[in-house]
Amino acid sequence: MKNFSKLTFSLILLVLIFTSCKKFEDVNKIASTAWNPNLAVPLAHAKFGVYDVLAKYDSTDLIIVNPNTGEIGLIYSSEIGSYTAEEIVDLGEIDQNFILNTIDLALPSIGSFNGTMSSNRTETFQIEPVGGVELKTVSFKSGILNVTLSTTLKHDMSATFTFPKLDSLGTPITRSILFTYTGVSPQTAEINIDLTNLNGDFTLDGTSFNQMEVNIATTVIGNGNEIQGNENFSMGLSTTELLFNNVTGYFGQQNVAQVADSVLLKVFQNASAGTFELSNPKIDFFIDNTFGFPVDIHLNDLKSINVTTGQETILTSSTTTINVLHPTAIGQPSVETNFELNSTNTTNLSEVISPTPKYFYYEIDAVANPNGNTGIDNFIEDDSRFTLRAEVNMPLEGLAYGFSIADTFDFEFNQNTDLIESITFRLVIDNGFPVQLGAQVHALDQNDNVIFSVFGTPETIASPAPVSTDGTVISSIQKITDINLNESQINQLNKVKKLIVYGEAATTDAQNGTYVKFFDFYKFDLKLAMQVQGSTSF
Amino acid sequence: MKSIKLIYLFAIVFLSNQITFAQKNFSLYNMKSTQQALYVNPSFMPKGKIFVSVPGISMLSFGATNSAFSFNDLFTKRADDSLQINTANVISNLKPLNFFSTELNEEIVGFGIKLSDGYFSFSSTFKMQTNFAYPKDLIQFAFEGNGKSYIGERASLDGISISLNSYVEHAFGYTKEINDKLTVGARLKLISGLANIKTDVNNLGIYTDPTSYAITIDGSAGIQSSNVLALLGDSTTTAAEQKAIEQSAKSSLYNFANKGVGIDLGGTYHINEKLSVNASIIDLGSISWKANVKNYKTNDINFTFDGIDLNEFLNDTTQKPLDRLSDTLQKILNYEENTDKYATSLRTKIYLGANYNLTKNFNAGALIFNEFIGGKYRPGLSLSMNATVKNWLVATLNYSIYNGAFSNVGLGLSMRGGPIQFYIMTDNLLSFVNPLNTRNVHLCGGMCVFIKGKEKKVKDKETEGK
Repeated sequence: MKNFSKLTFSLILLVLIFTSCKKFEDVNKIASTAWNPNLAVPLAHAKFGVYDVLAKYDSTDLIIVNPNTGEIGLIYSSEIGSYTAEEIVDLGEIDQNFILNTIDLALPSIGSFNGTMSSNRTETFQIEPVGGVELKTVSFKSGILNVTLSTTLKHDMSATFTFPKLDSLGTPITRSILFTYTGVSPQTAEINIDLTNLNGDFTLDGTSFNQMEVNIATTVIGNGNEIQGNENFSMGLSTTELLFNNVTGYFGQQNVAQVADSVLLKVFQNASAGTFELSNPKIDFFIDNTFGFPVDIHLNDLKSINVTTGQETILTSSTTTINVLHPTAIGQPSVETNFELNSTNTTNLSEVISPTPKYFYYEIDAVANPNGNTGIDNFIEDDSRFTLRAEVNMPLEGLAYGFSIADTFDFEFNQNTDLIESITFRLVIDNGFPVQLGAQVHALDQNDNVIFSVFGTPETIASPAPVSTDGTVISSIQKITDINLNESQINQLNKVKKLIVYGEAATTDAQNGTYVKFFDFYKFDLKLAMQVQGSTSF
Repeated sequence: MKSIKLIYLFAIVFLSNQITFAQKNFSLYNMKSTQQALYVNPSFMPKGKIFVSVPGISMLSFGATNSAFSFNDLFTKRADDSLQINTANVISNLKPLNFFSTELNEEIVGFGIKLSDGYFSFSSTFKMQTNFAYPKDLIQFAFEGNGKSYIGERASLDGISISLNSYVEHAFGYTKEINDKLTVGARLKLISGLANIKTDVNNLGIYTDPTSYAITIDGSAGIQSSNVLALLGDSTTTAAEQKAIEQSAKSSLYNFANKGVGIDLGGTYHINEKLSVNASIIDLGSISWKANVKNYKTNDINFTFDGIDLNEFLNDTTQKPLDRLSDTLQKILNYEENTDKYATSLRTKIYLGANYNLTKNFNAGALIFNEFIGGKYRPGLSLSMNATVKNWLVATLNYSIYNGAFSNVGLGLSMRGGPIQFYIMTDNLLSFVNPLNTRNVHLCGGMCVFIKGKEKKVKDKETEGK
């Protein structure tokens, strides 16, 4: 009986254990289970300032910031021309010959001359600058004055020539030569005078210009040969490589600059339509001048040209001449002249700049000594420059609406989308700019047929930041845009080959004429995220 | 599909119905006639004079508990009788922090002998415990992704942790009857740690911004290990070094390289002939882990990923965005590595019990169980009916509440045939009857040689005759 009881309990235990094992058969019934995770992931973010936005259009000093206010503007700069001193004054050359006969030399005609005779004469020679320039003084930077001497006298002879107004630190330049007759006639000699750092006065003591005197002193020492009376002594002056440190005189009414050019206003390059009004555009001309004479700049033709239509808009201005300031003494630094065309001296500048100009065209010339020779000497130095630069300055104050751009991008998508049920792209824009942005995206197939559009109609993706009465943004504003792609659209992504992105912009309350200003502290915060509804089984 | 089913099987084994357990030992506590009852209260005086274990089979206990859900909570039967994961049901069953624990004890050798006024015992036991704490958000996040419930909400993985603790315990016990009413006992344990791995810091959160979907990860993490991660080596470990590490790890089985001490204390007090109370504290102690230690700790993380920075992308084309992100993450997730020794406490349990003799062979018991795992308090309550059915058969039947489960019926049987004592017990009988619907499984059994002394036999008979 005891053993039977033990056996019974053991059997009960075994039954319990095997009963539990049988239950595990249920695991064979496990079927696939749907798994529908929903993933939300950030894709990209960026914070753009004014420079970041506008620098995409041009990288060459496009944007300026007013250091005092932070207000920003667009600057399109163009150097009209830069002119050097050599283009204004070319010294030309000296090319002069003097012949002294026996009378000039105080020599008698005689069969045998054994005496000694001296003479002294002053001759005037010309310097011949190019372009009617009247030289008064020249400080030579370089150059050679070549003096050739020759005599047919069959006697010994000495000659000393002096340039009283050609000096080195106040000492006139003088040279001497001795001819010793050896039976060869004519006797010749040549002397080169280095003009470097010599100063020349070409006024004949304030009475003229472009002229200088040379004093020639001769002594003939007879050797018993005859003097027939037809002998002479000649002197030639010529110059090479004349360059100046500075010159004074009167340089005439020559054209310092004459140019026609244009500035491309790239910011409008992709614009296709819209009203764009700047409240305070300016066109600045900057002249840096170290020429020592008056110059007038004439604004002959200022206009904008719409590249697309070719339409020209002429700028009408009450001022067409700019009097260029200049230094009044040699050695003074450059003098800058700034002339501005703005709403006070033009009638239609805003119209010329707006709405979608592409080029600003200008045609100007600059004339020296517009009032002729006033008796005040002109001067110029070898490193003098006359540079002329124009800037189209557009402080970002104004309004715009209906301003639109469009661009096309290639698109390629070759991913398996079976596991994706839907995708929602989320665009979060915290807009600190007083600009509203609208967008539309069209997905095109290889034949440029629209497969689907992201929005039914262009949708606002960035709300315009509100502005105060003076046009300054009060606070940024957030706009969340969800772009839903349903299963059908996702399945068609593989067919999409191009995306046309269309955008339109308008400033805050532009339709009601509200002007806005742009400052360098405005920010545009963009976040792009994606929410994917997956669908799979395991 | 086959592989998926294997995964399911794995889940079943390790998450819902594994035949191991995080042992509460309610049944063993009430089987005072067995030598092994000493292991839950050293004041329980064995009935025999001499006890010798049969190496390898004298006591084997194992079990698991999953606090959150059972197999049937995980699946729903469809019309075609197939089973499908019921995510909603799983999530609704989850508490903020859930546990999956296992514990395995195997007595290697043991013996006991009755002395004049006491009982001396010795045992060497291999023990292994694992614990995985998983937050509700971990499971919900995996099922749903971050795009539903967690938009604008922090998915909290705080508290997520793993631990594995394995050691050999050599216990010297002595039980003494102070007087007719009071019996006390203690077991001093010398421990040789085999392997340990545990998370040190475990805070982690994932927050998805409701507007931009920017994902912020916050938290910190640390892990300590002995004889685990070091065995994996690294790129700088030579073959000779690797071999030395492996040899060192094997030696930890006996060389006390990871030394620990522990103590069990117990007491039983007979208030009167009917009523007695008892209490014990088990595994009070710690192990110092020194062998092949490898610890890692990350910096405090607070990283927000808000997508590719277009400014950088547009201005720097030399580095790909993902490379840049990878560099950033490496900097953020930079961790420190060290080999500093560390200590772990034993899984301490406290029992508070009372028994009331209804008849001479039949008593009712109540037992409160208290356990601390990873700083978390996990209590349990058991009510039992215990009977000496025959001289050779002792049984206990109990009902327990623990781990949030209210359907635990335990059963224990001890049978003796001659000098051989066989026992088997469980804290949750229903886990074998209906395993797919249970969260707690426990099975303990074994066989040993049990010799009753003459004097003891007489005394036992007297006791049984009362």
